[in-house]
Amino acid sequence: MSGANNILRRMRDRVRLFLGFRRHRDMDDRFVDEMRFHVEMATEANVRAGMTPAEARRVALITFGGKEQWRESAANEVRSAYLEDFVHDVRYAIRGLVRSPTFTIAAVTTLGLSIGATTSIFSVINAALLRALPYPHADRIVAVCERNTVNPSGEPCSRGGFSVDNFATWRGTAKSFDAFAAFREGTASLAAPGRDAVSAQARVTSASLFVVVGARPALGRFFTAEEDQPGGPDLLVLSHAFWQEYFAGDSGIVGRHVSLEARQYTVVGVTAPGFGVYEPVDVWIPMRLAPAGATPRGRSLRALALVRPGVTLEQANREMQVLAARTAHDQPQYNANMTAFVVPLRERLVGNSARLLWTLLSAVGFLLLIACANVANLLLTRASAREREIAVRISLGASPTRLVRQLVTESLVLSAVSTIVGFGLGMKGTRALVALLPSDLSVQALADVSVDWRLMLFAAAVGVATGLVFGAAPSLHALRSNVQETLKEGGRGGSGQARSTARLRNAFVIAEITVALVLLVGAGLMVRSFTALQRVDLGIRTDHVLTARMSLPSRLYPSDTSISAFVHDAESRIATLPGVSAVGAISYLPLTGDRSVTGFSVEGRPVPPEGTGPFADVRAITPGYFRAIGMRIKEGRGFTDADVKGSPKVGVVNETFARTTFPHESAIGHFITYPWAELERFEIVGVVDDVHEVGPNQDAPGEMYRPLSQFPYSRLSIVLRGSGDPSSYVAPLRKAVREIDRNIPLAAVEPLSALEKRAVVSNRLSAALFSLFGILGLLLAAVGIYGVVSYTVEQRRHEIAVRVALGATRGDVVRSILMRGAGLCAIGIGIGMVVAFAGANLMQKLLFGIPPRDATTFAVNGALLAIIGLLAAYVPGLRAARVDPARALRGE
Amino acid sequence: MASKDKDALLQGTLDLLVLKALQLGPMHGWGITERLARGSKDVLRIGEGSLYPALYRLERQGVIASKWDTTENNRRARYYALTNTGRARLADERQAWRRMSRAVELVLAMESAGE
Repeated sequence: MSGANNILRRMRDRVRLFLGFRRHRDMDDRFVDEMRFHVEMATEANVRAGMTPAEARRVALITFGGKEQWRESAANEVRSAYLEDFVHDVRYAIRGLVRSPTFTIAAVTTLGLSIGATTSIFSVINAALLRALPYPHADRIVAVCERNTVNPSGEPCSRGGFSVDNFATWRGTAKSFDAFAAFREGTASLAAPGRDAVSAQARVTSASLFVVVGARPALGRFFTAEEDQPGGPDLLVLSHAFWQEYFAGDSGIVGRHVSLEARQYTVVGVTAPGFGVYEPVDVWIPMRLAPAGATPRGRSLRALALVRPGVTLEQANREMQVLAARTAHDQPQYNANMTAFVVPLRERLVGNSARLLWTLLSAVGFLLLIACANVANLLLTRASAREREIAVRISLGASPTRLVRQLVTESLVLSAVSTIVGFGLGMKGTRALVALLPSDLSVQALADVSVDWRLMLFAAAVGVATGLVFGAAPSLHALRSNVQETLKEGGRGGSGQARSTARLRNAFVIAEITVALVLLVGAGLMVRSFTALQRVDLGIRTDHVLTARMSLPSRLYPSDTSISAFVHDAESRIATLPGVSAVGAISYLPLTGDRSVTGFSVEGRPVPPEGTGPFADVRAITPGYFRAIGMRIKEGRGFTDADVKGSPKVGVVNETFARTTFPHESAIGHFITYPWAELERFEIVGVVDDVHEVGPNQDAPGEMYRPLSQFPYSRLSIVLRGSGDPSSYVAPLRKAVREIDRNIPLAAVEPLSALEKRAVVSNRLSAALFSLFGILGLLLAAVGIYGVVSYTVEQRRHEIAVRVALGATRGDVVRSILMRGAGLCAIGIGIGMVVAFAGANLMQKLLFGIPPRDATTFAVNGALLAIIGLLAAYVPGLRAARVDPARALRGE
Repeated sequence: MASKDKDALLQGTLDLLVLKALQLGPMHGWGITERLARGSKDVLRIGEGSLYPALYRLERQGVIASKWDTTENNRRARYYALTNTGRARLADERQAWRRMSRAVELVLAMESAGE
């Protein structure tokens, strides 16, 4: 036959093989059956020739000879393609796995759970840190922030804090930006004609915000820069969600009028579904900011900008510094010591959560490692059970590489199944995880945690990596298999081969214990830090308290007295509700993050230069507030109904304020001044408890309280202390306020305890997840120890029987087995301590109230792991003690 | 492949023998060795190591086909049968063999140098 023909024929065969390889998958089964028949026939023929049946069969088998070899050559006639081998191996692996369901279920559960946990943590990381934010030029969007260089108060660049007037100045001068936007939020009452008012979250913004984030409306349009001028029209844009909810997705909404804070606004557009910047808002209103110099004073804005293409972050930062320095020079009374800087939006959104997420990912990675080690050990056990089979096959000519490929395929099939299981679990887990995460992260960054290629790639990589990691050991083991030894020894332990397996298994268990300890220490640190947080006395009693926000439109309540009258009326109605023991109101509720910080001075002391402090929070309250929220008066008095507009101006300060401002004397009787609309001056009449305003992990700032009647606010939170479940007051509270004015809706009606929970949510989450991982790690390690010690007992059955027969007591036997477990634990815990000690500092920033190398945590978790480890070894120890020497020795 | 070297002598003829054995009717592997042994008065004992690879190869070439069937003793066995191509092939191979064996005979029958 000519060469060309040959090639053509081979090609045809390949194609046929590829398309029809199903036909050949059954090749092995067919082959085995055919051979069995052949040997039987040969045996019969031999018997007919006069041999005994046993002899006949032996001879038939001998003639049969190098079965493996010609099985391969026979098989090679049929399938030469690599693919065919692979398919064959996969089939072989699946058959093997199905045949030992206990092993398979154990392995898939272990791996699936850990892969699932890894995937769900990664999917959050993916959405939060890796995937682009949902804006067209997300990488060019920066948050623009101001910061006091001398007295940095709180977190720079947090909510609010950007000067209104500086925005008016800089938006015309900053060259680094294509667009520069600022905005602020507030609750507003909104009503369609003829309907009850609802509380809407309103964002007052420059029109440029839509340019910065590159938004497109779903309906109508956004307002333009021309409309965003002083005296511009009253327009608003509805959020998609609010349009759906309040207007039932009415497609004729554009052009309609709605009443907002009792003013008529025209709806010009609806945002695209899912669109948002920071927290979700319901309506967008033009800021219509006056030119620089004519704006209201204060730092109430947040600013975003779109950096011009080609301008680097450093260049933008430098320009902002220069602009800020100029402003500070021109207007020292407002801007002394202030500087400005930019932060990439993503960093601003996820900055605090990034460290937590990466830590969680490494924790869950550790868990995955333990799972791998466990499954590797399970596979080793299987491999030793099949040792003889493998040795026979090797001696019959099966190539070692072929065997290894089969074993690796088995691992990969196992990990593929586990990955699929884990991926499903992971997707479920992600949703739960997102619900638990801090809310500032969850808006844009986590709006969409759907599956994308990165996640798929990650899951596949984890699956393959785990398969290779836990599959490598048994394969290496098989490669090193010493055929003669195995065959001679008849599959029993004690040879060099068995010793090397034992070493491998021990190494795995030690690694498991090491990693488990690291996880446990991490979990311990998180839990201790969380309990420390919970032990912090917030300074308020959060149980049985319901809070609600309301805002009094200036159209309806234009004067201080009308506000006071409304609040007084509302409080007295609420106070009569059954079970209510106290009611009050405050301008900025603790734990919400809302605050107002001002510089102040003590009358009779030299006035410090502008901007150098001291600073304090200032809040307006009604007389009932301290009792309602559960604050104690330490000295002097609180406010009474007698502290009214015309009476002497008074104030109460907290302990921190009193201690830092008046370290050697009582604060009572001193006069304080601070700049507000005009200069405010009051006499300190009382000192109250410190309150951790921001949350338990931040110290209480100095604080001044003023009576609402003397220092009015139109946006307030109502605080109601009742008995029993605070949520039972939601309906009566709403009703009481509606009876006074149906245009005043309540917003954010929730128990104070819910706010408290939210303040520590990331600590709670990390404590909970770490504990979960720690416990899982502990369990897996215990299973690992149990498995290895059990195996040892099984292998040494004979030896134990001999020892018992020679007079060893049961106690001796248990002790010797326990010693094995103890040895493994000791080494694992020892290494784990070193690793955990070295790595603990990485967790520093996530901890509160304890050092990262907290001795108690290390000791307790080391002890816990040791106890569990010994228990895991004790069970097989007992089994060893029950070995009946007579039976064990005979049974061999 | 070791088996190939060992059976090199038979390489050319094995296919022919198998095809011939199957010309007598469909048969399983064991039966083929039996037929060949009987037919050759026990001179040709084909090893399984050569027979099955040859069967598989021939089947792949489409000259024989196989299917599961039961023997007269009600045992399950794989039966092989000639296809039409196989019959044609057998005729070809038989002719080729005759030519070859005649040639070999002639060579062996040379008595003296014919020059």
